[in-house]
Amino acid sequence: MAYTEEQIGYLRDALARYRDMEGRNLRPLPWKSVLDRILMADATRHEYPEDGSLPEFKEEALRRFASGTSVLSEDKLDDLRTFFTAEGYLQTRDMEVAGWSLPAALALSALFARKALPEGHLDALNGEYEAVFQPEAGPDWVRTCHDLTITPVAGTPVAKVTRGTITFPHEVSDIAAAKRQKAHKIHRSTGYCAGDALSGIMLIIRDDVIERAELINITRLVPGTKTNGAGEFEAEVTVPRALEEVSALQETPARAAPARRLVFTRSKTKDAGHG
Amino acid sequence: MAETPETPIEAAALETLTGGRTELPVDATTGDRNAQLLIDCIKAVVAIDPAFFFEGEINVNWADPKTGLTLLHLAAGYADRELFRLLLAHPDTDYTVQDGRGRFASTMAFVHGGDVAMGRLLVKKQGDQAREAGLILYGPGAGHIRLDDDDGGDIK
Repeated sequence: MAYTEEQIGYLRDALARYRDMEGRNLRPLPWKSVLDRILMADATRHEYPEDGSLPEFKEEALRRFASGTSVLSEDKLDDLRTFFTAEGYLQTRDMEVAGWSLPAALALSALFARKALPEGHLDALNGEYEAVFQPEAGPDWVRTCHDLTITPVAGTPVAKVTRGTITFPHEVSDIAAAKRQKAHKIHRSTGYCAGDALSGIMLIIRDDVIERAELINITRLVPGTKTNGAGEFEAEVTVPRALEEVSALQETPARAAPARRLVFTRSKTKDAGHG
Repeated sequence: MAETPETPIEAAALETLTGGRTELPVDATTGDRNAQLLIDCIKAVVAIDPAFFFEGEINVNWADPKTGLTLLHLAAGYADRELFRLLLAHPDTDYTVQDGRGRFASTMAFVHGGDVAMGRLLVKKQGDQAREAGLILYGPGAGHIRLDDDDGGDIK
């Protein structure tokens, strides 16, 4: 089977915990012992070559995999999955494709978009934008800054999105200085961008840790120009939803109700050639 | 704390961490139950008054009642090394906690944080703390008490 980055993460975690748990005298289990156990387990049923040569699955490959410097071939990942599941270090559900990933983005794209992303609009969206609004919970206006990087996924109608966000009180005038001062408060998240049949572009920003996703429906986009760097877009931003709710939108073609409408204006382009 | 929180959101986060409430604070700007607010709040607290964090005013093992995610899970999942260092330095940090899906902090680092070094250190910390407490954390005997063996140490 093909493995996602998340599934490979589960395998690395299981391998690290197994070595630690099976070690003796405060030392992790040696790599040779780990490999012997994997190859000779009932669950994997490998055989060592009769001519005395080393097995194809080598300790060094396992060590490099554990350190994150390389990824094992699929057949060897299959061995790890089988072995650690049998040993109780992995749960079957860990190896199920995560509720939400590129395939889900493609499915959503098929539902919402029914057409490719508008040509040239991805470049227009790359860059830094600001929106000013009054939160529901307080009287003080705030300025939220988004730094969007959008990269098309070859051979698909969707693009990957990386977003950095930071929010200030509205009265802060020197945003660049404020960003430097509070760099640790820039929240980075990733997601996907799909064409939207009704309006143009839908950004789906996910938070895998707390398993929620935010939908940003861009209803109007005015690209900037090389000379003035201007540009803005209007967006409907939804309350972040559980990932399974977002996945369910594939089956129930209902639009998510927007929490608020914001107008983002471009604060700086990433590349003067864009837009 | 020597200084009041900057915003109502940060105040809500602080209230969560000190036991005044149980759930993740809600970010009024997004309506979300926001884990990042807690992380920001801890960093702000430590910058202003480290003793407030290190001497027990904050529940360092706070867990979201809905997901079971602890601060350590969040630090690992977001690969936030600044928060991770603070939790490593705290004497009461519990490394053996699993979230509602049975995931350890090390799992979050490997799977979501993509931080292998953090994941490996967490595995070491989890194992050491479990051995010290006489617990079997993983594998067939998970959840059981360790029995001492003859070579003076950690037992299977």
